[in-house]
Amino acid sequence: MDYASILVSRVRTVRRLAAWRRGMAFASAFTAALALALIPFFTLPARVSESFRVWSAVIVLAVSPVILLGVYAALRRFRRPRLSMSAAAGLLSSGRPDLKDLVVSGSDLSRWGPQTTSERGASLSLVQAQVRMAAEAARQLEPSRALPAGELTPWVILLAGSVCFAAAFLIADPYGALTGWRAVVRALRPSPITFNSARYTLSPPAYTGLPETVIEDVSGSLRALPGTRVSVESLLSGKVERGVVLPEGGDPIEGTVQSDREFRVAWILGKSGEYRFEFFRSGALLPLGFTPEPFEMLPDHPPEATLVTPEADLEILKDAVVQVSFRAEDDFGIERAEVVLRGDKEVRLPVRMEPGRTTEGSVQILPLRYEGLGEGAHLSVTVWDNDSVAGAKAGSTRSVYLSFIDRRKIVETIENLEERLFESLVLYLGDHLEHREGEQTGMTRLRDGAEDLLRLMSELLRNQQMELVLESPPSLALISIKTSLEVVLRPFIDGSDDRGPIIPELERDILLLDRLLRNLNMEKALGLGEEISALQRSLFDELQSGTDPRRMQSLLNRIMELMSRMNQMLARERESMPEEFVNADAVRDMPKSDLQEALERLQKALKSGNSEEARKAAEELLAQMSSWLSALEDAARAASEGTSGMMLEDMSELEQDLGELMKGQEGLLNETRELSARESGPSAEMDRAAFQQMMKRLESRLDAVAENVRQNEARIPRHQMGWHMKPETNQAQRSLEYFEKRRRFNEALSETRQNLRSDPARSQDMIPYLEGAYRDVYAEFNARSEEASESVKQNLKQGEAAGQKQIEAFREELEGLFGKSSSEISEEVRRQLAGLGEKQQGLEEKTGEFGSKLRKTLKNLPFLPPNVPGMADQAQDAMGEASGQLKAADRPGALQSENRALEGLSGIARELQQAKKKMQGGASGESGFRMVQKPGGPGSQGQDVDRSHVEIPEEMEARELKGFREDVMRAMREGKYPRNYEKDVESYYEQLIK
Amino acid sequence: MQQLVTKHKYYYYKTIKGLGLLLGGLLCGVTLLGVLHGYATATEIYGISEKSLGLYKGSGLLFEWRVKEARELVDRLNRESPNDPDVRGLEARVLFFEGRYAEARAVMERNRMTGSFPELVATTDDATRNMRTHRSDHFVISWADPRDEILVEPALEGLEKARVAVLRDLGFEPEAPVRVEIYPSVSQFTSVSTLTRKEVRTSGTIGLCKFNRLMIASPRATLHGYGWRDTLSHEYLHLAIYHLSRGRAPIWVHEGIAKYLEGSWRGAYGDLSPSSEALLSRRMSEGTLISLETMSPSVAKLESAEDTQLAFAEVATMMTFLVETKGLEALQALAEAIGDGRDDREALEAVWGDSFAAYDARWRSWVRTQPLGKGEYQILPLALADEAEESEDPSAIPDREAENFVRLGDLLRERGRVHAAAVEYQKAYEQSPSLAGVASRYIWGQMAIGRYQESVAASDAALMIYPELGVLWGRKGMALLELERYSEAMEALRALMEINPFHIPGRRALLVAARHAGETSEAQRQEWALSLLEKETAHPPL
Repeated sequence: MDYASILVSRVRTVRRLAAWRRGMAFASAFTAALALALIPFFTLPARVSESFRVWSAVIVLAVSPVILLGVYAALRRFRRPRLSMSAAAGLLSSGRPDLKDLVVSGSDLSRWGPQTTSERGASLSLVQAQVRMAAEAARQLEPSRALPAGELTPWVILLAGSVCFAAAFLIADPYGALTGWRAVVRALRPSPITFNSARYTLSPPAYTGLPETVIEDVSGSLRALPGTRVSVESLLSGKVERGVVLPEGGDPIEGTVQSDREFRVAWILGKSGEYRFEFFRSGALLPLGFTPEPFEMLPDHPPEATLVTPEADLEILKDAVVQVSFRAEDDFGIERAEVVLRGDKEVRLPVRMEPGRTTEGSVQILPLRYEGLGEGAHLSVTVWDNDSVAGAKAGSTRSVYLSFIDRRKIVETIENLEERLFESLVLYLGDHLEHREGEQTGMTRLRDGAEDLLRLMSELLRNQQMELVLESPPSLALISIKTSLEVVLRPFIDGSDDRGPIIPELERDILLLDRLLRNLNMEKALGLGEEISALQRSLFDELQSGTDPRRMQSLLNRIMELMSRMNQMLARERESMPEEFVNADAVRDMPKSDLQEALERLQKALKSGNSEEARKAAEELLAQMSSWLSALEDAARAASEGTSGMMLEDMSELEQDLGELMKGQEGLLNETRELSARESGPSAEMDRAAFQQMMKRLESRLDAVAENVRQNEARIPRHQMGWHMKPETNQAQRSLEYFEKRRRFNEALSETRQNLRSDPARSQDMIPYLEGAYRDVYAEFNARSEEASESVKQNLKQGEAAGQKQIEAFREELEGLFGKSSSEISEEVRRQLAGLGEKQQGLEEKTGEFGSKLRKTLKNLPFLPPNVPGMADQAQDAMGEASGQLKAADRPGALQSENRALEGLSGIARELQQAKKKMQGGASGESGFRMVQKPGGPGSQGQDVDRSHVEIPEEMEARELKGFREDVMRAMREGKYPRNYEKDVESYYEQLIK
Repeated sequence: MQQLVTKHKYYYYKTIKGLGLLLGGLLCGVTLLGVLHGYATATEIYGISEKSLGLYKGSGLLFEWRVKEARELVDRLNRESPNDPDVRGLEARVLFFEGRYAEARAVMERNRMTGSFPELVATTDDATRNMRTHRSDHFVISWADPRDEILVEPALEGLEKARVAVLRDLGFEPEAPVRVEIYPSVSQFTSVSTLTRKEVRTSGTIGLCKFNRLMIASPRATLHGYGWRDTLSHEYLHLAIYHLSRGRAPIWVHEGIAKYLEGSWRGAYGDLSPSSEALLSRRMSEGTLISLETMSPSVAKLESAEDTQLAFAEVATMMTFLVETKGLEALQALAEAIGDGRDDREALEAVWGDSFAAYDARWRSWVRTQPLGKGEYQILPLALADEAEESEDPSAIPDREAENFVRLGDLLRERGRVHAAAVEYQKAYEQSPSLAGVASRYIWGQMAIGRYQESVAASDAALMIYPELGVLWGRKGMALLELERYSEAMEALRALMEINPFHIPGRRALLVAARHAGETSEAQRQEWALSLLEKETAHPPL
């Protein structure tokens, strides 16, 4: 049995009881004090004034010591310090003083262990015995008796009473209690902090160039640019030890506090939102008496750039320089710009420009310089602003597409086209020349060959891309060849055995193509030269601008490679270039060794990185190359102009001869007219006014006749008139015949009218012709109205009679005015007319010679249609007629024929003019046979190209043309000349070349 | 006493006089001896060193191509001043004139000599280093390309004959064997000759006599060949004239005599081609002759082939006229008179016996009386093989109409359409039969369609105008071969070989003709030549 534990347990029980009672007493006293003092204080203020609150506070302060005394008393009363074991043992044995010592000592000894006993030198068994006796004694004692419960009664009553008191107040006015509680809490809380005289300073980022803004009276959100330095200075309403600014979602920004109330803070504005202020005192967060205004970020807009040139997509030659210019603006400043080329690879080229809010820049780029761009590239300009806060923002212009036309490819394409055609033509010519007359199988073969040739030509022209070069003379020449071949081959294909015109035409076309191909080869060589030149300039420019020479090696390699190719081309392909070109000193004496030396010097300098030396060497090479290329260009130009120069010379000669013929014919025409006018004059007996009246009447008769024919023409069924028929059809033939008669009627009427106005007497001479033409027209009407109704036929008949009457009346009135017709002319006039007839005959012979010369020269004039000599023949025939008529004193007839002859000559003049125009070049206006023109002409900087198509005559069109022309030619041979058709042919050609 | 004094005075003065005379004589004698002794004494008197004078003299000798004397002089100078750089320089020049290029180059390099002359020596050494050489009694021929070996025998034959003719006509014979160099290409030729390629092309100068030797570019270097044996003879004549005139003859004398006598090796004197005659006639009537001054310093520097041809025609006829009036010996006399120190006009006047103006006037009148051709003949410029088309027909056709037909014919011919080509060529011929390129093509065309007679007739007509055009001879020869007229064929083909010995088809034809004609040695010669030409690298022994 553990007596020590029993003893200790008993003593501890006493201690616990004592502590509990003490606590109980204290709690009661405290609660009572609190209830009594504070409840009224809590509840009353809700109903009373502020002053009362103050008094209440005073009362509480006054009462507090009493309460505290009371509490102290209670503590003192029950203040037994925590009872020690001995005191607790003593209290336990307070009811049995005789056991007190035993219990006390026993409790003390019970806590000795063997070690303590040994240390104190006591006997363990004695100690244990003592403890046992004390334990047995303690068993007799009751702890509850040591502390009577009655001592607690007043305190319990006090507690109960104060609780009831508090409860009564709370139940009576719970709201008031709550309010009062809140007021107390508030009073305990510290005062909110506010800004007194806060000053916001906003310093925008330096790159904006904007001035600082100071805001002292902040209302509404604050607006600033990102990167703006915001600094706040303020005097606070309360003391603080520390203040921070809290951005939304960001780290706090420490401010500085001086003199407890002066607060300063600064930060860089990063984003929009609230920037809360927090102030601390003694580590506690102080309430804020204001809501800070949020910040709103002002945007820094990206720059805007506009591409000025190029204005639109371009098709350019790769060795052409493209001028790129742009405008840009930004809210604060443009820092830099780049031209961006995006093809198969991307190339970025910095552009020099003046930084600023608005800026312009320009640069020239040479696409050839950048290998790997491919067949085209999108070009745009990107600019960056100077935003050093968020980073430079970029803005780009729209992009345009640059299509790179590889000059060489174009030339190759054209060359292929022409070579195929060329070969076919040569072989076909050979077939014709070797054909034995009378051999029918040969003829069949030749006809098949002709078909094949025409088919090939159409196919090739159709299938090749010709937009760019269609403006050039060579392309027009090809079309001209096709047209001419059609004219000569079609009849042969259709069955004619006449091969006469074929061989000269083939020869002509072959020679032309030969020239073109030679010029093409020359162009190829020159094209390389231009590429070399462009690259050299680029190299020189880059060296001048300070690029590291070592980076220029690849460019130099390209130059050397191109030079080698050019050299080889000039050496190996000279037989396929114009002789004038290959024989030129510039070609024969190519300064190979000088150029090679210069290249080697440059290469050495580039490798060693010696910029100065490289620049000098590049300059020297550029000078040498330019000089030589310039000489080559001159040689090429001379060769081209030599070719075309001869043609132009021939044409000029022809034009000169033609001019003389026309002058002669015109002179004859005027003389004939003059002679006719001399024989007539108005009657002297009639006064002026009456004469005028008479003229008017006569004029109106002619109008009536014209109207008569027009009306009756309208009566004839359309299909009978044969309008718009195809030339090959019979209907068309008939319509041709009608047209001819109608034309003659119109002419006769017009001539009569003209004479009436200029020489009234002479108009009598026209009457027979007018009558005859009128009758012919009506004959046509009658013939074509066989299927018409009776009423139509009747109308026609009446109309004819009416018109006839008008003409009769016209005659009678004229005779009444001027006497009989001037068919009786004087001998003198007859003689003079005969003299004119002789002159006309002389002119006829000269025209014949001119026609022969034209035929002979036609081979050298590829742009002249093959029918032009025929036109000369027609003019000659007309002159022959006029000569006969003049000799027979048939003035009207002679006038008509002379007019026809003059018209024929004019037609030839027009053809010569057109041929000359075609010869003299397309867009560039250069003469000669330069094939590929730079868009917009030489020296172009990459302008837009007219991409409109040219219609290439299809087979059907060519056949129509052929039929067309046949009709014209036949009509002309027969002395008929449908004027409308001539105009149509003319306009067809015009359309062809537009 | 007085008398005695007078007598003594007399004898005194006499003695003094005698002594003075003696002294004077002695002095004169000494001086004369000094002068006669040589420059050495004179130079000591005048302060010029012997070496300088020697160098001056050496240069003078070289200028006159008196190489043997120059050699003796420089050997002496070498003995006296063995390591003197100036002497070494002179020696290098002498070596060059002697044809010892490598040694000359070595001397120059050792003495670190720079400038255009050392460069020329180096270039010449490079060009001749690998040349083979063959000697005859009077000539040393060198050639580089194995194919040019076929020229050697005929060249020597022609040159030996030329030597005999020149000895007879001008009284000149070189002291030492004359060096003849055949260059394989125009580039090499121009590099050693100081001519430019353009000058060669324009003037047709394909041979040169300079630095005491003869140089020609092989006929292979030209497209159509040229009368190379006449050219060798012509250059040999320049050598003779140079020596005779001591290097002082102006160009018109040089070219006049050379042109007049270039055919003398084969018995022809004053030959002018019909085109040259027509040209002279036309330009004389136009009043646009080339003046003698304009011809200087060289006809090679004239602007155009036409001018060059005209210059030759002028000076050749001047000599023809001189010979006709004053005899052949007038030529030698003229050259020697110039060599004696007279200027050219004076020399001519001395030979002619009247003023130069009178001579000129008489010559012009004489030209007008000559039956010169009057047609529109074509000047055929020299076509270099490496810059011209491969066709052997002349390419220049000044008549446009004819040119067109010719072009058509060429195109058809290239494509094997020979009949068609013949038709076109015929059209061209009908248009302009007197143009060389037209005629030659027409002849080809006729041959192509088997009309050999017509071909021969056309060839004959064309050869009347252009005897220098090898292709005409060749075609004539081949047409004759087809007609089995072998001897005539051989004659025509030999004429071709005189112009273009590298014409392989022509040689084959000549071989065939020779076989048929039973001319065995000729056939063997042609076999050998063909084997050489066709193999290219063969080196058969001569």
